[in-house]
Amino acid sequence: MIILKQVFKTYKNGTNALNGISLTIEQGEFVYIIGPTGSGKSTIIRLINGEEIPTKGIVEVAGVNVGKLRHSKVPLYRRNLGVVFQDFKLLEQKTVFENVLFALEVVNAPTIEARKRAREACALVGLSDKLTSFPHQLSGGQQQRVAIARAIANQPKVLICDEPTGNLDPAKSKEIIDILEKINREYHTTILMVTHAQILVNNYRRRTIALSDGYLVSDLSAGGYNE
Amino acid sequence: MRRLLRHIKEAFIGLFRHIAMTLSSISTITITLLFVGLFLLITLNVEQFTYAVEGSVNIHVKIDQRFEDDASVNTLGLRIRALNGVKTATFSSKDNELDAMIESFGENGSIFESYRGKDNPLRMAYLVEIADGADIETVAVSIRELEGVEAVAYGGVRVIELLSLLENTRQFVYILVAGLGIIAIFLIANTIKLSIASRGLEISIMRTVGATNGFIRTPFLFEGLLIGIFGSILPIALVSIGYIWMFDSMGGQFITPMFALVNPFPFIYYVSAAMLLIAMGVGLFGSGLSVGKHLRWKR
Repeated sequence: MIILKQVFKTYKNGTNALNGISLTIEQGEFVYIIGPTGSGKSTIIRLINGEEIPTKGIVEVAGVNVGKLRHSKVPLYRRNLGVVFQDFKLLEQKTVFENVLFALEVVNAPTIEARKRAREACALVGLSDKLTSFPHQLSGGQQQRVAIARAIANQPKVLICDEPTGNLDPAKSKEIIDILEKINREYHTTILMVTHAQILVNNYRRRTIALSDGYLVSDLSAGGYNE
Repeated sequence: MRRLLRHIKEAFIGLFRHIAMTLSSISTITITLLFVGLFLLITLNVEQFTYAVEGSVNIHVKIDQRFEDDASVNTLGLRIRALNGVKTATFSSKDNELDAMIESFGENGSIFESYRGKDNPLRMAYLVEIADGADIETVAVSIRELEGVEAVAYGGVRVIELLSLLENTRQFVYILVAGLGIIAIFLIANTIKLSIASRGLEISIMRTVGATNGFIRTPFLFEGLLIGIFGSILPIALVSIGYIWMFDSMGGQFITPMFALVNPFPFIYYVSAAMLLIAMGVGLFGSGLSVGKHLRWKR
């Protein structure tokens, strides 16, 4: 599903963010990517979602060579991906339902189909009773669930979660992980979760890829991580 | 269609989000277009005046009685035609001159009929047409110096002065329109820039979920277009109503019948359409500048 072959990334300012990373993630896998700040986690995400082009090497997602994608094809490619951010990125003036629907509207999904999918996504994250609420009326955990619903509404093959629990307490973090596991289990969606939270990684053991200074330092399919 | 409606709806939301900037952009467009309208009215009417005047700017050259033999008349004709600035020189016999005189007196002209034939006291003449009305005085002086010329007469100097005044006015308005147009474009660009900035989160979400760049840009272009359209309503109404009123109250002419004003219909339709197109163009260009700069396609 996701293949990185000898990927190097050097930014214009000279920073070597990735140094010869090679890894393969199969369809339906749930993978943690961990590592300290500046280890290259975010760069991997940016390479996968097509925001950045590798300096050297190949990034292939669902059979698409992402680095070679023409600019005009990037938006269509991104419809295969869902992204969840640490800061939720919800539109404050829109309700829960409208926030989720927005992601479908802007890719021009047919109205009836879009509304149905938005409702299903909200139900999956347990927000059916909050459809008309606005983000400021929700807790942090609930807001992140809206963001997850929005990310999966378009039924992506890959769900990228960039520190999704970074702003949440342990109880809310557990809720989020439970939802992500449910999505992974029920929809066979490949989940790539970047995190700092060692407790989560050790409590919910899944394949764990550890990065340091742009190098892949460990890839444990049994999961767990100790610095 | 649904997509188009969405873009228009978003554009309206954008307009109201920065109502003060929107209003200032619309006002600038309004003022600019008022001058554009004025410019168009002056230009097109001056063109019509010029056309009318050009046909009437000529020199009437009376031939001295002592030089009425064929050879002298022909020589004079050749000399006149050889002068710089002369377009044509047409011989007019005594009878032709009488005809012209009778015609100019209208119904009462027939009393001059008795002069026809041997008693015709009028002189033979050359009617000289000038290539450029501005040269009329120089050409007239040159002709007066030729042998066989009794007198030269020409009209239209005042007319030319008036035309040149109108021409200067037109150029002044032209510069004003260009200046105001640039201000309007930059104000619109600024309004759209604010709109883009205030929708930064929305734009980043759209990019993340795979909205195309065209989809992201279009509402902002519509916003500029709408500013142009709204800005054009008042000037189009004022110019149209004002011109019809002016045409009626001046009896369809400017000072003299020679300066017949262009009939308001369908003239004002064309002027209004031109104003609307210019407004839309300015709106689109202004928003295009901002969109091009702040929504440049990145991966």
